[in-house]
Amino acid sequence: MIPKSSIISAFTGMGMCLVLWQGLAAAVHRTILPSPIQVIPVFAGSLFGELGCHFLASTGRVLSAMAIAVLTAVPIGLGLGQMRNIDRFFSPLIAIIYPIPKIVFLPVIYVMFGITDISKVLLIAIIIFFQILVVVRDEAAALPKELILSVRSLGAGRRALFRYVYLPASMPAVLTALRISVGTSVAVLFIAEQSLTAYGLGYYIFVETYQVLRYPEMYAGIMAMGLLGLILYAAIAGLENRVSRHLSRDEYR
Amino acid sequence: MIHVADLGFSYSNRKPLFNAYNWKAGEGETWSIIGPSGCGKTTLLYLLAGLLHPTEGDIRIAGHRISRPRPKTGLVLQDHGLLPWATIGNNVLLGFKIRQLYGHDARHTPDDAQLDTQTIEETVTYWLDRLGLSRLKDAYPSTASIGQRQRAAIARTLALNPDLLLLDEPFSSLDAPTRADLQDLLIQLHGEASGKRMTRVLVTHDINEAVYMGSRILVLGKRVNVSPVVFENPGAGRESYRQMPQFSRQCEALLALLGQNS
Repeated sequence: MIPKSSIISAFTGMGMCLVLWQGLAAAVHRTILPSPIQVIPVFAGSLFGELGCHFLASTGRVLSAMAIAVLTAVPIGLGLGQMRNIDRFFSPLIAIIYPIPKIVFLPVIYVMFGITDISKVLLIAIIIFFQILVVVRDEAAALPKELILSVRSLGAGRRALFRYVYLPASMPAVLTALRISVGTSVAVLFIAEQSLTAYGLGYYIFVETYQVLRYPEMYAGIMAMGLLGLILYAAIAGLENRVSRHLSRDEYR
Repeated sequence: MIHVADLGFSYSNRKPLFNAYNWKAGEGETWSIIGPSGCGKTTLLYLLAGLLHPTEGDIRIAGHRISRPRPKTGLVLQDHGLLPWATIGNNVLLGFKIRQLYGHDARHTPDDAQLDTQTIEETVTYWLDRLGLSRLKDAYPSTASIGQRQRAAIARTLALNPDLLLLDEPFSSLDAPTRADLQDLLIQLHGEASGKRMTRVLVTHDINEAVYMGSRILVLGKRVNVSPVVFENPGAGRESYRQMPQFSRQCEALLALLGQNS
């Protein structure tokens, strides 16, 4: 699924990270920068305890946000890509909202949806929504007319076109958009979790450890958050590889 | 088989391509449609396929007025129209997948279509083999040559057992030997049991192709088409026709006729 070389490179990267960290820790030599030798045992020890709970809470939020974004943005994007008139009407609106950093809407969302998990999930979902919406729309609009006509001539109506043409055509782009959004999503999650919750890595890092000066634990939290981003990124890249097999040209037998 | 009655058609805000146009094609006949670009030959084919709708008049195929793509009509376009993300084998399977999705609903699937997996597998295997694509079953279209892709498009269409095969300049992006090869293939298929009663309409701008492939040739003109101009070409339908002196005479005669019409 994922090429061996990229797995090796991932581990090499992690190793280099640890070496750099160790070097910096030794050079700075202060409690605000504990060495990985100090942090890793804390990380390993609490991963199946307190930290693990926060990790799961954060993972749940990101995954729900992704699911909501995909399930809404894909159909709307496919619709806009097929119906040029409606697309022309909405595209100025989308073009304006798309680049706005959605985190600024956090207070608005809290006011509208209350201080619940829904608000945090929704904020991240909105960010991913626009990323996916734009690529799916463009992908659907770029499908050759002849391809659609050919498939229609095989008897396909809207349902079959969606299932056999539009959906598989937009899958690689959806996954690419999702993968690119992982960084922003985790970053926004971190900020959103810093207040008005009692669970999540953002809360753990900011409230439970940073504010009470538990530095090794804070770094364990940072590691967990980094790991969350990394796992999501790698998992999506793996899926992307699977659905984009036709794009590699070495399949000839 | 095909019954075009009082057809009127124009794209919005443009001069009409057809006006009170009548044309008939019998079952099992092989037609070529030729004319200069912009004369409406592809439009006519799309109208027959149910992908466009007449502005006036109507088109009946096998007795039924068509308002949407008809399941027993096959269509092959110049740009093969294969799904790039599916293997050649899965592309040939696509029509059956679509039929299985809808089931026997009388709109998307012909009543006599077999939808059990084994029959489908056998049919797909037969057509892949018949068009020399067995080795490419698991390859993606991007790795196949243009000729092979066009073969796959033909296999995909013929696997559904159409009684009317519409082709829109199917060979114009192929090199000369591959083109000749596929023209011969279509002629052979017409002689085979599976293609016996199949009516074929091929749109082309190539005089040689029109004469080689169509025993009757419909000539369209640059101005609005009002009455059909039909060029009879009874010699077509044999692979040896290309070498006959009669073939080149017919090509010249058709060229002259095209000159008068444009």
